[in-house]
Amino acid sequence: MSNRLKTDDCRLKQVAQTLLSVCLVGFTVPTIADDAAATDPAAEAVPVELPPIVDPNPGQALQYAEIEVARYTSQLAELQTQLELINLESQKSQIELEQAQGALTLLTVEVDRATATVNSAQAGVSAAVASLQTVQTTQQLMALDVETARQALALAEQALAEVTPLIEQAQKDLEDALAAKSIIDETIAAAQLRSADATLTPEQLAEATTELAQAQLAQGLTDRLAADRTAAHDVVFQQTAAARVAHADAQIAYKSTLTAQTRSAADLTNAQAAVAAAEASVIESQALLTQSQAAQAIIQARIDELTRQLEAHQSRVEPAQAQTGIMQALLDVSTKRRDAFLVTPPVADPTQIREVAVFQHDRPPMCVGFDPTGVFLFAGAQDNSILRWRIWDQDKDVLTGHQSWPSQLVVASTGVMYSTGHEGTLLAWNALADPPSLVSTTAAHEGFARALAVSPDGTLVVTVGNDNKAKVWNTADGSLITELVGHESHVYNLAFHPSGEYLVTGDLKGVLKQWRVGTWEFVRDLNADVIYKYDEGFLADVGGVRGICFSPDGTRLAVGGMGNVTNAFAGVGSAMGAIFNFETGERLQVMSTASNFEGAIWGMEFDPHGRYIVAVGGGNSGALWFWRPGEEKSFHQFDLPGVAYDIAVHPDGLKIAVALYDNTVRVYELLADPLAPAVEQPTASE
Amino acid sequence: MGMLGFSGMVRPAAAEDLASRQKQVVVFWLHGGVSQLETWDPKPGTDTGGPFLPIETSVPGIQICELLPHTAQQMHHLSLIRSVNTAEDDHGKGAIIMETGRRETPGFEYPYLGSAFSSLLAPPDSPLPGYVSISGNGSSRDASFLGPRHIPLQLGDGGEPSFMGRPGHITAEADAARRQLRNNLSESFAVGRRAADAEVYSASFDQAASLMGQRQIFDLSTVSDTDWERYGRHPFATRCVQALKLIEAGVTFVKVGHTNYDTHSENFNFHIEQLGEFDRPFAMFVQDLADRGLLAHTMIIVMCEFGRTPRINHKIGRDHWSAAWSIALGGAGIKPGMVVGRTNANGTAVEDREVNGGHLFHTYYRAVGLNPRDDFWHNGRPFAKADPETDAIEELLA
Repeated sequence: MSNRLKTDDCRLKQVAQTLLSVCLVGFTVPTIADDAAATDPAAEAVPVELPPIVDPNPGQALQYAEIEVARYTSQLAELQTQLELINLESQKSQIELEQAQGALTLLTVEVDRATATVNSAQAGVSAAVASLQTVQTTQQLMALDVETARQALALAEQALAEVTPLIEQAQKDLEDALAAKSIIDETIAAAQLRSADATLTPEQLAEATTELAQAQLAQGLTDRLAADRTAAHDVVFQQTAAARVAHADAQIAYKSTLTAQTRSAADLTNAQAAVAAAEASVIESQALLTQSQAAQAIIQARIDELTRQLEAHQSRVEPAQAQTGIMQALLDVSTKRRDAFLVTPPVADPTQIREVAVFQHDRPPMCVGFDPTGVFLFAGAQDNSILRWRIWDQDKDVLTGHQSWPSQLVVASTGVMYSTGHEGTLLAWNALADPPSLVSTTAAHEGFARALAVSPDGTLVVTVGNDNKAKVWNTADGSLITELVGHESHVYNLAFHPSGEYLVTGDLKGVLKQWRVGTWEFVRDLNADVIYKYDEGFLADVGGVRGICFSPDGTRLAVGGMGNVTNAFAGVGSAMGAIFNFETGERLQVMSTASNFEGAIWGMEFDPHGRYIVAVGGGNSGALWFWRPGEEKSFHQFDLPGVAYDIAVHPDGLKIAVALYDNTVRVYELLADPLAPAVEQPTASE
Repeated sequence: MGMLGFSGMVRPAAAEDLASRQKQVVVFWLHGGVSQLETWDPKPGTDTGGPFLPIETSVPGIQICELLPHTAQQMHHLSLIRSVNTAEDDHGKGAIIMETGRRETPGFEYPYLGSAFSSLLAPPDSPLPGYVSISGNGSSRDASFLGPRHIPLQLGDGGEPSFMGRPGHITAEADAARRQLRNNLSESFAVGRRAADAEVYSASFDQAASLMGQRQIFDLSTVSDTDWERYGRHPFATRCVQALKLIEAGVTFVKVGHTNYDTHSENFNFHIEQLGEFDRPFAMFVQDLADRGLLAHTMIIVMCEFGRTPRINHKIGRDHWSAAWSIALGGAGIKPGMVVGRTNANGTAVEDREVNGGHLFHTYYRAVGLNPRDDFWHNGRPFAKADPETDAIEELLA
């Protein structure tokens, strides 16, 4: 940074500060809108479209400014909508997150409760199992009791069984004895009766009496027998009764134990059922726990998701806010610019001019240009590079891509810079990015590509070259639209009419060809052979349309070069030009310098107000010359420290950059003219 | 595709005869000094290189400037010397170095290359001029002491010399009688007064008469449209066609001029235009010589007063520069496809195999089978044909 801006120049410093304030917001911003990009905003940086260059035609420039204001307004609105949307999404995510977190809290209680239930159920199972074991033990004891009772019963039955025949025998014996007694008794009774019977013969009586006696003997026997048997029966009967009582008792005991056993079995079943129930309860409560845990996991996942969403939304907020801020800044700038056109376009006084900055390189620059914001100065140099300097601090980038000398460069309102090179290519650059980058390379011409122009609406780039052609390119996709054929010598330069309806190309021999944009039909030739000569001594063509420009209102076309050549190869001739009435095609004046400057015009521009034409060039030294339209001789000349090859007017209309042979680009400032008559102000509706 | 239009000019037997015994030379003289950087010694990517790119040639490894695409295809017939340092930046003095092989010598004029080779190579009894200059300048001074026979016959563009035709009102018989009368008078004048000037006077008439019998070598009306398409339809193309015709006819030395390369301003634009004119017809000429077997005994040299400054000046021009420049040559006696010498990275100095006019003259002489160390004798004094302090570029000689 050896050549800083002269610090005593307050105005330029102010301009620089203004520019700085605009540019600090940056030239690249992240895109928003799609979620994928939102996750990594920095990866999707794209250049912001910047306000357009101030066209030499204030009306045209105003149109651009209006378009830009409208564009930035709508873009800002869109960005704000997007930002609101992001905020809404963010809020929604926040609410959902909170809900999910509430749900999670509930679920956590639920899980705790389920866990307690599970634990309790498991304790119940343990208790039931213990109870079951007790029942089982009891049952085993019961079984023993039953067995004991059964055995006792069996014994009782056996005893009973044993006594039963005895009692039956005793009964029978008793009954037999009684029957015998009864028979005896009846026999006695019969014998007594018979013995008492008087009728009886003694023999009979005797027999009867014997019989009675026998019967009475027998009666004694039977009575004893009966008594014995009754006694025996009584004994057996008592024994039987005892056996029966014992049996009954055994039966009762047995039944009692059976009943107890049955009751115990029921207890077991109950205990088993209790265990099963407790286990079922455990399973159930575990299922409940699992379920609530699953629910908890789902809610947790949802919370994570919502947290991510929230973060994503929040991460988009800042870039969106940044971009909104940038867009707001751009809108402010473009609004100010538009307002500036509407209110007080600066009017420069060319006689008040001074050098304000020197941009140094190590090889001569051949072409220069400003970007539409006026922040950067570009130059193409003899080392094939294109240089980009930030104006206020001279921060310098060197862009490589051309294989030969760059011949011309233009930064379009889109921020894309187009440049042509002597190797015949058309290059497109992302000119305002940091760092700037090469976008595309197009083989455009055989031999030198000498110049280019961007159409006022930015949709076309036209290049011209040594293949005698002009080529029309679509800026949207870089495709070749058409070739304009008709020149019979190298095509040197070109300009779009401010209306965008016409294109004029100029060649080595001073032939200007007018073409209708769109249909691309040839309209007419204009004759600028005042800046051409065939040198009979050197047998060579000399001259060419080096500078070309339209007046802002499109009524005048001016070209510049070298005329009155006396020695082509020494470059001895006059810096000259010509101005035409573009409506009639009539050449109005041949423009020459008041000093009859020996050399050539290399570049030419119209004042943004159409008040003067400025040209730059040189021979053995260099100069800037100023003409008023309609006057043949220049009214002012400002000597430069070397031959200048190109000129560019800053968007502010007050600064001029020139490319000089001494390896510099120098910026000169014209002071605003406080006494300038009011300039007719264009209106926004135009 | 041969030059059918020329094929009738030389009887085949005569062509063989010429091939076996006579060497011929064509010099292309690029008036004003062509830029070596825009021709034979490009320096792309340097501060001196200019906007043009180098291109490949028919010889792998040799690149020349993109302004010579047709010549590049003939590079296998040519060689380059990239290390010429003639140390003379004045047009006239530089031309003398390149034309005589040494600096201007006070009090003595060495003969120019054309006159010297006319004297040393042309058959003495040939009806053809030994040295023809087509828009290549030249004067009686070229021949110096070698005599008027070796003064260049100067042609303009595509026309025969003036007064080639016998005026219509003089019959052939009357013309012969007039010449006889003049001869008789001259002879009687010469008796006892033998003098060089008288001989010159007489020889001039004889030479003119011979030339009038060779009008057909200037007649380009038989050149086919095809050939004009190949060469181009502009004055320099016509000169090349004429030169081919003269070489086919057996003229010893032809100098073809091309104007102009003295590009102090807009060097690159002018070189596009001038070399755009030079390239194609020159390349066609080389190709036709080769195709017709004429290159084997015809040496071609492309030269000028000097080269041009590596530094690009404020008018985007290049100025006079003799310290490190190039010539191209080829054909008879010259190894093709060679590069002799080397300049530094940006062409501001010779780095290897520096040569000057003397080296070049030794080389030219040797290439056409002459001994450059022989002397010319004039007024009883010997004069070295080539600067005895220098030598031929041996590696370049076939």
